Amino acid sequence: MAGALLAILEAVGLTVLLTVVAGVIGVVLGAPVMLLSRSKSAAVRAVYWTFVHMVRGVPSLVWLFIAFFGITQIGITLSPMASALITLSVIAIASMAEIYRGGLSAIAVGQWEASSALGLGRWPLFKDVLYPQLFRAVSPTVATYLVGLLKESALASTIGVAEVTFVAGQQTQFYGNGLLFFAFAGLIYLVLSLPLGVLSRTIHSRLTRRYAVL
Amino acid sequence: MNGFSWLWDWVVYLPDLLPGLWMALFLTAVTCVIGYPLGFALALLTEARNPVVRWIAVVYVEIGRGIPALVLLYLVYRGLPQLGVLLDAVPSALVAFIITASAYSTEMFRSSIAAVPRGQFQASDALALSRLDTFRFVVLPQAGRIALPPLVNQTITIFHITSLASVITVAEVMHDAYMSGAFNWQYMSVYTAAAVLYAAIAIPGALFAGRLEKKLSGGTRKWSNRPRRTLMSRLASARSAGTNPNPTQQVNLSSNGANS
Repeated sequence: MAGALLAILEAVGLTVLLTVVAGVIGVVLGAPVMLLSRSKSAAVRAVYWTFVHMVRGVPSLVWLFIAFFGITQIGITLSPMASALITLSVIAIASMAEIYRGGLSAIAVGQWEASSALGLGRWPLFKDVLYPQLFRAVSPTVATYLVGLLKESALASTIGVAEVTFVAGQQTQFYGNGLLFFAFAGLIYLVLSLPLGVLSRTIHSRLTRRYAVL
Repeated sequence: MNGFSWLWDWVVYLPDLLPGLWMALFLTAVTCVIGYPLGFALALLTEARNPVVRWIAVVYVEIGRGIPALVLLYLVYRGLPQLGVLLDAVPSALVAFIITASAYSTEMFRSSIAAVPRGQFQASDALALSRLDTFRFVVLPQAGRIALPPLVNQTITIFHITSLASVITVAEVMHDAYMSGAFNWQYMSVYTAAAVLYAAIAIPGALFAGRLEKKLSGGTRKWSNRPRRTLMSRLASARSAGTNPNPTQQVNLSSNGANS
């Protein structure tokens, strides 16, 4: 039994890997994708709108199955891990772009007017006025989203990625102690989400101290 | 090689998935009808005076929000039989989803109540309204307005989460899609059909929630609805028109623009 719990614990590596890779890709690539929504061209804004609504309008499980089972019909075969990483990353990019967009629209219009009155150019406006406030505004939302991503990585078990939920299921099939194994898996997710909460609170308070504007 | 046939022949598979769609909508409806009132009750319990009650409510909410819905689903379907609780697939799915929905909505209801301005409570106090009346006539109408758009979004999320029920053999959309795919090997077409079904409900729902939020939130000044003409251009045009560019007047002009 202890061996089974140890096996579940060892699977934390893959859960963390899925979350961190998809999370970093989302946080980094979400920003430039968000800029598409502020484009002057209506066509570019339409592309952004379509991308975000398509990705978020369909359950993650469906995207995962399309990226794993679906693409075999086109003659492409991906490993479960590759399918899961690609799916979670694309979903993270769309979600982070929407979070950044929401953060930008939460910035008071007075900031925009004041920068304009000071004659700031477009780049200093973004770099010195909007971005510091943007990161301060979105940091709690980002942390909440990353916890959501951690939980979403459990979906990878359905296509056979040997992360926490998958191994818990495997051990349950073997030993039949589902209550213990899945409760243990649940506990692992709870424990893993703790540092993200602490991290977000630290970053948020530090940023608020530095840029206490509003 | 049928490279791109899935781009159009997913339509063929829609009828295969319709029974599953009804199941998904049924699961969503039952989950929300039971889960949301439960979440509301929990929101009140997290503010209870009795620390034990408060503590139990908080632990329930943290577990419901912190554990993946998929793990909760397995816990109910494959874990509870050990305690002698044997539930069929559909009741298992409902129990797991209700835990998730109630925990998530608790936080929403709690923050909506907290968002009602303090002055409203003080005014009710000054009018000597009872606790119950304050809650019924002052807090609830205002908190309800705040909670409504996130509640619509939450319902869409629950609708998406029902796709998980396929892993414990509940015959909803993803289960039907898997069966159909296993039969005719057209996985891309089948899952595209499933994606279209989910999106056809979720995207209009999300747009509705967005519109609702805009309508209910009133006229706060945000960068997103800033006036097209900036203060600088207003000053410039005022100067060229030969009028006295009174700064206070100009600021007022621009704030009127933002509120419209």
